[in-house]
Amino acid sequence: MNVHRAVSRIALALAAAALLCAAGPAAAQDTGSADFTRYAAIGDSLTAAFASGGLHEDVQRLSYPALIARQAGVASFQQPLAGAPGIPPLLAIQGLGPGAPVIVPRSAQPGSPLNLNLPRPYDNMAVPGFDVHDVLVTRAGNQIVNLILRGLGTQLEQVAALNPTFVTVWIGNNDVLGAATSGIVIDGVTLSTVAQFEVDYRTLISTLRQLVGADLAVATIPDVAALPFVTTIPPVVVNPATREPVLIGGQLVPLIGPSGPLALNDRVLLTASPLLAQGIGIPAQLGGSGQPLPDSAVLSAGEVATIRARTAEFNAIIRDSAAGAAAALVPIDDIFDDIVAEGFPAGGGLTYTTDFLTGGIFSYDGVHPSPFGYAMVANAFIEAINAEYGGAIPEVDLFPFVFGPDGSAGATVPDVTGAASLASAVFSAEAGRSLLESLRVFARPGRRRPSPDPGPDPGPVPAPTGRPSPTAPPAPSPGSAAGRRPFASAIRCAGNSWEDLDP
Amino acid sequence: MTPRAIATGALCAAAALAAAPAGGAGFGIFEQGSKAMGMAGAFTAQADDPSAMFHNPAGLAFQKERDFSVGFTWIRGTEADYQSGATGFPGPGISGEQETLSEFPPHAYWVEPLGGAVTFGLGVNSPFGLVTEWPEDFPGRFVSRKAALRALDVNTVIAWQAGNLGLAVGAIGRFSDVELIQHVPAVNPLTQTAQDVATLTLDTDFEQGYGFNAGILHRYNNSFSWGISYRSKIEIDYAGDGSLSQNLTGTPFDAAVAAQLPFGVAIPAETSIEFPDQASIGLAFALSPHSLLEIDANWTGWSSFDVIVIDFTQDQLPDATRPQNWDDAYNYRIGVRWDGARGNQWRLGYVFDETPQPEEAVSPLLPDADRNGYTIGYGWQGRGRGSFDFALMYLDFDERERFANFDGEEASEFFGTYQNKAVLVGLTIGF
Repeated sequence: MNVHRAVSRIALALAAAALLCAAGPAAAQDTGSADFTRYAAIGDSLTAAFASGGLHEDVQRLSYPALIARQAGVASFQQPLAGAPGIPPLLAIQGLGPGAPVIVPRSAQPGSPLNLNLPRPYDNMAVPGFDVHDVLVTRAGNQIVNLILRGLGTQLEQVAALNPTFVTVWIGNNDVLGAATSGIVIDGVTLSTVAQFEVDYRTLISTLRQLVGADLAVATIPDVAALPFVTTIPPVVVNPATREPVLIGGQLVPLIGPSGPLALNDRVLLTASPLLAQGIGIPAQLGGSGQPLPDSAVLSAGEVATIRARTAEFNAIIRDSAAGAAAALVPIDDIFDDIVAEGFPAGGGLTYTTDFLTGGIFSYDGVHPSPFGYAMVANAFIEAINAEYGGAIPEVDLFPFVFGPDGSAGATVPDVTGAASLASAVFSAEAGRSLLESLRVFARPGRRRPSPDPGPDPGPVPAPTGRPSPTAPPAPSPGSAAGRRPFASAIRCAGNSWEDLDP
Repeated sequence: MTPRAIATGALCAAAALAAAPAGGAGFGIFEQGSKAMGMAGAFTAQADDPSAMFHNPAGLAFQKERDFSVGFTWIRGTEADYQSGATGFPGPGISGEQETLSEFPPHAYWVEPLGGAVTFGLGVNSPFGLVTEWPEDFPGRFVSRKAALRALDVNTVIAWQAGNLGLAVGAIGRFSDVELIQHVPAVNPLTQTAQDVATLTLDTDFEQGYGFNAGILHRYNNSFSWGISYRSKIEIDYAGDGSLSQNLTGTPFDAAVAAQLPFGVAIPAETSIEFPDQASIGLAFALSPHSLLEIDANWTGWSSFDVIVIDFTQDQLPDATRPQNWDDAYNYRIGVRWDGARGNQWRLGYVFDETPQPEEAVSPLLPDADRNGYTIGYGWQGRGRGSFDFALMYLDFDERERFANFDGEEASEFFGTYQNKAVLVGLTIGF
């Protein structure tokens, strides 16, 4: 049996079955003072239920906004669904033979959109790869962007056109994520500036609160330097047979980074996996090529510190904005820190962790949650909403997400022989390319230059007309579009390129 | 997967050592003689058969003939159901039923007057123990599938009679072992769901601990007596071996699991249990020349059962600590008896037994609850030493809910409602 295809089918079947098991007819719920008559979601890939490198309807139907809508009794919640094998094709584990498993895209061809002709904006308007600024100004982009926005306006414009009574906002992750996933920290390029972020974020919240008049729940940004994409590969040479660090003279042997031997608190990104498999980054005396890993495959400790400091500044802005808008605050940053430290107690004797592949919280791309992870997020939102608005929205039942739709926790996959060494999984170059491109890390049409002076309120203020207004583009923020340069160029200027990651 | 899965297993293993619902609240068994059982255990102020060694050893002071008795209590569960709730894990729609409980804790006593006012007694009984066992596919099997605690006391007593006052003191040697079976879940990366990858079994050796008991019985006159008895706490340190067996998922994940868990090797472990002390006071009134009423109150120091620690001595699994935070608890017993012709005696009784277990500790491991017990009994005393006692108890547990966790114990959350009922049959023969 083809393992790749079998796993794909099973994963999809499980997701669908889990949905069927978890879902039920929407029933009126006590939402307190929160009005869920028209609920919309603003966000990025995390809100869109991007997982394992793509969008797929089986996971999208379990997006945290969809789960919130279901739990709150929303009758209809429309999303830009993607058909199999996903857009882009989802990643899957392949090659469970004697060697290490390899993570690759399931297919070369993406699936088709399934809800493209909805005659109104989607209720879940989240666009993978979007940062806060994109929500305000971006109208077109890569395939995913265009499939969701459909030329009907910016994300904010389309949400406003829905005249929502309640909006969840989880945005800002990509204002720091690009730096973490690309290994390149450039202020104003891979890392949004604080000034720009603050202007954009406050504009977003004030627009939703004051002009649209919606009740809000907003979430903070997790520590992207703690994602499995960043933390899985140790910065030292590991014996592939034993998966234990190699010791010479009782000392760990550091991998070779762009500036020499890596420090123990440097990070090696998942995208370095195929390079390491070829010996790149491994000293020649240990059988490696002796060539250094590219900067795009490594996050130095200093870069990690920079990203974390910036994330903290952004979260302070989010918290302040939430308080000013009387919004429910979902402290994803604190929650994620706790999970990283202690794991997530799912109940029933099981603790989920952030471990890659085996932890249960993250999907195969090491950045985005699994369906279980998204259900956790939904419950975090529901808890915050109930607390702020005095409701009693029931939390999502995690059981189908934990043990599968039948709760059996038993065998669900036909016999496939072969040993798996999960700790040494190879994140293929194709998988890395697919993920980063879909996140617009390497394929953004442009990024604003650093903007030390945020200037006056630059945000669009769409009228809550109830219809999209594709002909009313908002004014770009000062220094945004005009001063942008392609991100790929910035990477090359830094001495690296995507091609560096190709074996 | 591995460290967390093992840690989870170890935690559950720790908790399992606390296991075993029984005929008395917590994991106590108060049914140690069928005569007393027929009066719901209200026997502290009577203590007029060899089971006095358990109920009030001072009763031996008034027993002036050699006596042997032997018997058992058959404890059979008639209902042991679980139903999940609307909130928490596992969420709505999950139910389960325990394997039918059927246990036979024994008792045997020897009373030997030593002449004068002194009487010697030797008893063997099982004041703690019992079993919880769930089906192999029960969703709560990752918290506990089976937990069994066996304890056997050997009790020697010396009793003195001083007029209408009896005094006694005794030594107790307690021999006990523990068995638990609990499944280990792990997230299968191929399916991104948790699967049942291993079964952890822990068997300890029979270990021993020592304590004492004492009692006072005052037969004030033919119409009234009172008694007090006390049994000390006993701590037992257990040592044994755990073992892991793999549950195949039928996926390549099995090989990864096999490579990371210590299958097929002994996993030495140590722990301890502090069995609580118990005290009883009883008042007996003659209602007529042929009938008697006794009212008892019993106290058990369950608050000593506050935490369980398991030490995997070779660090193959992480050590585990799990809070229990039980409370001291009381039970109240009332029994009556009527003497008929030709050595027949009829008995009735009622007991209210409050659970020491806080809601946060309720789990598939031990879903204890307040309980009401209703008893009837019959006894026949021959002209010589021959006797026969029979008792029947219907034990009705209150419905017990678990919808709260101790801080930091969310991983073992298994919210829901438990309902238990049991029938106990006691049979004791004297000769």
